[in-house]
Amino acid sequence: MPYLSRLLNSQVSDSADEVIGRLEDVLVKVKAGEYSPLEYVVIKRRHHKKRIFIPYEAVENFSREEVSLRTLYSKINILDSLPDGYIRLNRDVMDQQIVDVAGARVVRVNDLRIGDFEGRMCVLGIDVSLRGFLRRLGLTWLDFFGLFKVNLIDWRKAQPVKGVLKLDSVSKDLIKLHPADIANIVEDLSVKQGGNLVLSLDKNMAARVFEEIDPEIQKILISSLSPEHAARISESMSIDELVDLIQSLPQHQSKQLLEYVEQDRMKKVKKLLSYEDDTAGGLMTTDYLAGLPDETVEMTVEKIRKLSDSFRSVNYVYVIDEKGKYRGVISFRKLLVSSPQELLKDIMKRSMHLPVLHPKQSIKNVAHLMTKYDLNSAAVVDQDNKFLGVVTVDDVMRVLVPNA
Amino acid sequence: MSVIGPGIIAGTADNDAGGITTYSVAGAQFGYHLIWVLFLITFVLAVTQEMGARLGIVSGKGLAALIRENFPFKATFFIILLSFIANWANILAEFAGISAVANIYGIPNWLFVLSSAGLISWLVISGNFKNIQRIFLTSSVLYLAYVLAGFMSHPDWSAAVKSIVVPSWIPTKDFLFMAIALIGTTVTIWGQFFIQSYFAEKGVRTQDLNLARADVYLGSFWTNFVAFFIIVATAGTLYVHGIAISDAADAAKALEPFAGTLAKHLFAWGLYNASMLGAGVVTISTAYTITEAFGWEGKVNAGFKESSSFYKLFLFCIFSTALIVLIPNFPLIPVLVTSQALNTFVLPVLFFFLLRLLNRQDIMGSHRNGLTLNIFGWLTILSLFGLNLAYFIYLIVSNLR
Repeated sequence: MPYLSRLLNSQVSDSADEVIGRLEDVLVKVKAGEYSPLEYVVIKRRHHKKRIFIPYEAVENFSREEVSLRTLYSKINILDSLPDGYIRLNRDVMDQQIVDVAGARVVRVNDLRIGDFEGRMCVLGIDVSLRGFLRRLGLTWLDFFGLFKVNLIDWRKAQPVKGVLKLDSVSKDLIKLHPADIANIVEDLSVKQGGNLVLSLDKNMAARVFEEIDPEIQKILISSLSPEHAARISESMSIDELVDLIQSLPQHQSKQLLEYVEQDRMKKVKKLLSYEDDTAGGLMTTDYLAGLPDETVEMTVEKIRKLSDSFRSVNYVYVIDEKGKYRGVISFRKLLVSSPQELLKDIMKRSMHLPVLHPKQSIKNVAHLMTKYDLNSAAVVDQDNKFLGVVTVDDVMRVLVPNA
Repeated sequence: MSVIGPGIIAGTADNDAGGITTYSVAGAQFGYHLIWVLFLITFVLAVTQEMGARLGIVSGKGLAALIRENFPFKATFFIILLSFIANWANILAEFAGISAVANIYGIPNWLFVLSSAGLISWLVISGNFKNIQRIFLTSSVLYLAYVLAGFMSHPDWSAAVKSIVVPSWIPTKDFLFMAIALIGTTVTIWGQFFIQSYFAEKGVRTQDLNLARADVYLGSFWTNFVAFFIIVATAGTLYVHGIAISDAADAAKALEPFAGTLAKHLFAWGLYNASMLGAGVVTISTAYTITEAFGWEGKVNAGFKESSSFYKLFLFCIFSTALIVLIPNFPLIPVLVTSQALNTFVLPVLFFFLLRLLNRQDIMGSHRNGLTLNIFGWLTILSLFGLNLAYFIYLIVSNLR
C-alpha cells in the first residue's frame, strides 16, 4: 500500500502508454467517521497551465511503479474545472495541521497512507512520524536500524483543519469529546483557528470549552474575537468563570465584555468582582439552585427539570428564606427518595449544623474546611447569615492545581 | 497590546552580544565608514519586520508553519536547517559574550557560563522568563551609556552625520565582511521568525495592524539608534588612536571618556544583560521555529510534559553552545563576527519565501504587498545576494594570490 508522497509527481500514462502529465493532487470528500475514497486525480500536463481532473474510476494502476489509466486519454471524460465540495489531499492535508480526535491533540501531517478498503482506493491513515519525515526527504535509508516506527492516525479519527474546520463540517466525534479535550485542541491550534473552532460549537458547549482553556490563552482568544462573538461565549459561561475572565482582562476590554452582559447577571457579576481573587468570595459562583422552605419536593424537582440546562454541575438545592437567609441544604439523593408532597424545610439539613464559608476566608482556609468535612460544595454567607453563593470543590482544585 | 511590544523586544535583543561586539569592531576598525550601511539597514529592518508582523497578524500563523504549508517539503527542510545553523551560531555568540564578562572579572569561565546557562534554562522552563524579560529590557537603558560616551568622545559630528547618507567604500575583504556582519547582526533570521510568531500567538486583530507597525518601526529605530552611537563611540576613541579590538575588554575602552574607570563595569554589565536577553529570546525563537515547521508544536505555556520537544531543543541549543564556548583559547571575536555573517548568507533565501507568501491572495487578501514594497523587497534580496557573492569572489581571489 503506497504513501501519497511517493505517488505525487509521478508520470501518468494512458492505456497506450502515452504520457499525459504528472500527478499533482488527489481529490476526496471528507465524511465524518469514514475512510475517504479517492474521487479525482489532478494532472498537470506539460506546457499547459490548466490542470485537468480525471475521475478515479478511470485509473487502472495507482502504485509507486506506475500510475496509469484504463483507457485511451482521448476517451476519458475530463473535467477542466474543480467540482465543489472536495478537498485536495496534497494542498489541503499534506503538511497541514489536523486534529487527531482520538488523541485530542493537533498534529502536522507528514504523509498519507492510501490503500484498498472494501474494494475502493481510500485514504486510510495519516503518518505523523519521523519516519514519514525521512520518507519525504528521500532519506529513509538513513534509518537502517529501523529506529523510527511509522505512526499512523486512523483517517476516520482525524479532522482536517484547513478550509473545512467550519460549523457544518466539524466531525461528530470531535463534538463528543469532553470539553476539556476540545479545549486542549483549541490551545494547540493557532489563535485564529482555535477561535473558529470554539465559535463553531453551540453556545453552551462553546462556553464550557472556553472555561476549560488555559487562562492565559483565554485572554488572548477573547481579545482576538469580535465583541459580538466574545459576548456569545460569555453569555453562557458560569458567573464565577466569567468574573475570573473579566478580572484578567485589561480595563477597556473588560468594559467591552461587560456591556454585553444581561442586566440580572450584571448584578451578580459586579458583586463577585468586589471580592479578592483567592478568597471564598472570589471563588464562589452565584449559579446555584435555591428553594423556599415551604416549597414541596415536587415543585423543586420541576424547577430542576426546567433549569438544569443553564447550570453546570449542581448536586444540591439550597434552602433560602424570603429574607435571603440561609436555612439549609438538600442533596439530590434526598430529593429523590423523599415523597413529592414533603416540604423542603422538613427534609433539609439545617444550616446551623453545617460548616459555612465567609467571603473573606482565604483559599487555604476553604480547602482545609472542605477537606475536613468532605464537602463537595459549601455555602458562603455573610455575618447576618445571608446567602451569597457556593464554592464547589472543582473551583478550589482549579486554583490549587492550575495546570491540569 | 501592552506597552512593550514584540518589535521593541526584537529590537533590543538585536543589540545582543554579537551586536555590541560587531558594532564595536566596526567602529574601531573602520571609523565612520560603515555608518551609511547602518542607515540603509534601518529601513530594511523596518520593512521586513513590518512584513513579518503583517503576515503573522493576517494569517494567524508563524513563518515556519506557513513555509511548510506552502512550499515543497524539501525546500522547507533546507531553509529551516539553514536558519537553525545561523541561529545556533547566534546563541553561541551570546555565550561567548557571557564568557567575555567572566574574563573581565576573572571569574572561572566554566562556573559563570554554566551557571548562566542553568539560570536561563530555569527561567524559561519554569515560565518566569517573560517576567524577567522585562528586567532585561529595562536594563537595556544601559545602552544609553554608549550614547553619552558617543558625545563625550568629542567625535567629529559633521563627519559622523555626513557618513550617514554619503556612502564610502574601502575595497578590502575585511571591509566587505564587516558590512555583511553588520547587516547580519541587525536584520536577523531569528528576528524574522520571532516577530511573526509573536504577533500570531497574541492573536492581534487586523484592526490593530497600525499599532503593530508603530511597534516594529520603533523597535527598528531603537536598535539602530544604539548601534549608531556604539560605532561613533568606538570610532571616536579606538579608531582615532588606532587601537584594534582583540578582546572584549578592549571594547570597554570605548566607554572610558564617559565613564572613566567605571567603563569596564558598565561594558561588562551591558554585555551580560544583552547576552542573557539574547540567549533567552533567540533560543526560544529557534526552538519554536523548529517545532512549528516539523509539527512537534505544543503550547510553550503548557509546561514541560506537553511540549517536551520544544524544551529538548531549547536545552540542546543552550548547553551545546555553552560547552563549546568553554573550549580553551576559544577565538571569541572572529566567531562572533562570523556568526553574524552567516546570518546574512541565509537572509536572502528567507526573504524570498517571505515575499512569496506576502503576495498570496489566499493568505493575505487585501493586505497583500503593494508594488513599492515588492520592489523594495526584491532590491533587498538582490543586494544581499550581491554582497554575499562579492564576498565569495573576494575570498577566492585573495586565496588564489
